[in-house]
Amino acid sequence: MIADFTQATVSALSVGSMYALIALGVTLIYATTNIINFAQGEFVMLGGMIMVTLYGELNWPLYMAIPLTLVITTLVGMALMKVAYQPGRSTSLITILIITIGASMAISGTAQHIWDADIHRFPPFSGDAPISFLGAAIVPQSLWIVGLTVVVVGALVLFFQFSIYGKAMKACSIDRGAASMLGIRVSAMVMASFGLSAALGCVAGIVMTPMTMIDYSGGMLLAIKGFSAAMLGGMGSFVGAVIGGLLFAFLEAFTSAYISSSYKELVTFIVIINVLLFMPRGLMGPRTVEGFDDDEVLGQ
Amino acid sequence: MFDTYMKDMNRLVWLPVSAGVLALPLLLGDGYYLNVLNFIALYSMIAIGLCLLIGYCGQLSISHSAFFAIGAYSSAILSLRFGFHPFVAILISQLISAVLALGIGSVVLRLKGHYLAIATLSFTIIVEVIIVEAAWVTGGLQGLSGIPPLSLGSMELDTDLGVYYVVWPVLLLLLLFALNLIDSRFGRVIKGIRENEDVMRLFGVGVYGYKVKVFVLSSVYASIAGSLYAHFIGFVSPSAASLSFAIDIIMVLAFGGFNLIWGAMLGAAAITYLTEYLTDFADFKRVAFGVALVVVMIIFPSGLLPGLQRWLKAGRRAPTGAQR
Repeated sequence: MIADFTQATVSALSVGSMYALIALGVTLIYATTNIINFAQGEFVMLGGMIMVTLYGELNWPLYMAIPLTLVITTLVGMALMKVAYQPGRSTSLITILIITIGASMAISGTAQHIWDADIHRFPPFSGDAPISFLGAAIVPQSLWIVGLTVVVVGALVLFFQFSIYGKAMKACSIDRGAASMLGIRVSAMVMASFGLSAALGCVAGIVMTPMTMIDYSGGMLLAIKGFSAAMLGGMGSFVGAVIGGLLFAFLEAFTSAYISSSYKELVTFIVIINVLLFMPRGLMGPRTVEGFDDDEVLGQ
Repeated sequence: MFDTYMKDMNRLVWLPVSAGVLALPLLLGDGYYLNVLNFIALYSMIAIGLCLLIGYCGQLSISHSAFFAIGAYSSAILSLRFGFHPFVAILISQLISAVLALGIGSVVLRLKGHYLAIATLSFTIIVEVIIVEAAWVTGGLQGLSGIPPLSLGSMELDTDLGVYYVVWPVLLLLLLFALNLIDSRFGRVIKGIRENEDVMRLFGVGVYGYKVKVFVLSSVYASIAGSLYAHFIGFVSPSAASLSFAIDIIMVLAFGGFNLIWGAMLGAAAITYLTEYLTDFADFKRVAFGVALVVVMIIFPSGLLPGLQRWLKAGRRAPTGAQR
C-alpha cells in the first residue's frame, strides 16, 4: 500500500517535472506574444532524438552532447519565431494557431526522415539499477529529472528576478507597447522567449527520453499536455506552470495507480475541460482572461 | 452588390455542377476513380461543415474528427448489433450526434479563441480514449468490421458506383443548404459574429445561441460523413477520431479557403488526389503538408484558393464577403 503510494508519487514527480518544463515553455511564449504554440512538443522530441544520436549512438560525453542539443533546438525555436510571429500584420488567432500546427507537422516529418519511424531511447545517465526507497523501486534517472528541473526552474526565477534581460522580457509580457516605448527591443525579446522556450522543452526531452522513450510523432500529445498543465496553473503564470505540471502528473499517476492506466487521459482531460469552464484563470492566472466572454467571468 | 451577385452565381453554378456530377459515371463508366471521388465527397462534407464554423463563424474547433467518429461508430453499432437498416441507422446516428453536439457545444462555446481550441481538442482526445477502451461495444483498437453496406430494398449498394449515387447527391444537398444558409439572415449574423462579437451583441443578437447552432450544424455535417463512411468502407477504427485526421480536414480548408464553401470541395479534391495518386509522395506527406500549411497560412491567411483568386484579380477592390 505504502509502496504503491510511493511508487505513484515518484513517477508523478518525474513526469510532472517534464510537464512543468513544457508548460513553462508554453506559458513563456504566451506571455510575450499571446501565441499558443502547438509545436512546443516538437522541441521535446528534438531534444530526445538529437541526444539519441549524439549520446546514444556516437557516444559523446554528456557535457558535449547536452550543450549541442540545446543549441540546435534553440535555433529551431528561433526559426519558428520567424514564421509564427509577424508584428504589424493583422493575422487572426486562428491563422497563427494553424501556422504552429503546420510547423509541428513539418518538424516531426523532418525528424521522421532524419531518424526513422521507430521508438528510440538512450541509456540513462547513471545506470539502470533501481534504488529501493520505502518499498518502491526508484530509477536513478528520476532523480536526474527532478534535480535538473529544480535547477532549471531556479535559474529561470533568478533570470527573471535579477537580470536586465529577464526584467525586459517580463516587461514585454506585461505590455508590449509600453515596453517598446521604454526602449526595449520587443522583437529581440520575443525571439529570446522562443529560444528559451525551445531550450526548456529540449531539457525535458533530454532528461525524460531514457525513461519514456520517444518517436518522431510523440510531440503533439506532449504539447497538448503542456497546454493543459499551463492552463490548469493559469496561462501566463510561471509559478502556475510548474504547479499545473505537477498537479497534472499527480492526477495521471494516481488515476493509473488506483483506477486504471487506460483511463488516465480520460480523467485528466475531463478535469481540463472543467478547469477551462469554471476556473478559466487557472490556479495562478492573471486577473483578466481573454478566453472567456466578459460577462461570464465572475467578479468583473 | 457582390453578395447578391454571389447568391445568384451560387445557384446558377450549383445546377450544372450537380448535373455534371450525376452524369459523370454515365460518361466515364465504372472505375477506381469513383472510389477516390467517394472519398472526396466524404471529406468535402466535413470540410463544408467546418467551413461554416471556422470560416463563417470564426470559432476554431478541433472536434470534427470526434463527431466523424461518433457518426461512424453509432451507425456501425446500430446496424451491426441492433440490426437496424443502414439508412435508419444513419438517421438515428445524426440524432445522437446532434444531441451530443448540443451538449458539448453549449458547454465549450462559452469559451473563445485558444481556450475553445484546447477544450474541443480535449473532447476529441476523450472520444478517442473512450472508443479504444470501451472495447465491448466499439471493438477497441481492432475496430468494427463487417458493417452492412447501404441497401435499397433487396439491392445492396456495395459497389463504388452504388455508393457514388448516395454520397454525391447527399453532398450536393448539403452544399446547397450551406450556400443558402450563408446568404440568409442566419448567415449574415454568423459572419457578423466572426467580425465583431461585441457589435453583434449591441445589435441585440444572441451570440451564444448562434454559435451553438452553428456548432451543432457543423458537427452533424461531420457525423453524416462518418456514418456514410462506415457503410461505404464496412470498417471503422479509432483512427477516425484521431487528431491527425482533424488536422487533415483543417488542411483541406487551408487549401480551399476558410470562407469559401465551394473551395472546401476543391481543397478536399486536392488533398485526396495528392495522398491517393502520388504514392512516391507518401513518405514526404507529413513534411510537405506541414510546410505547405505554414507557407499558405503566411501568404494567404484566408486560404490558398481565395488567396490566388484575389491575387489574380489584384487591383480590383477586395470583395466584401472576404475576410482580411
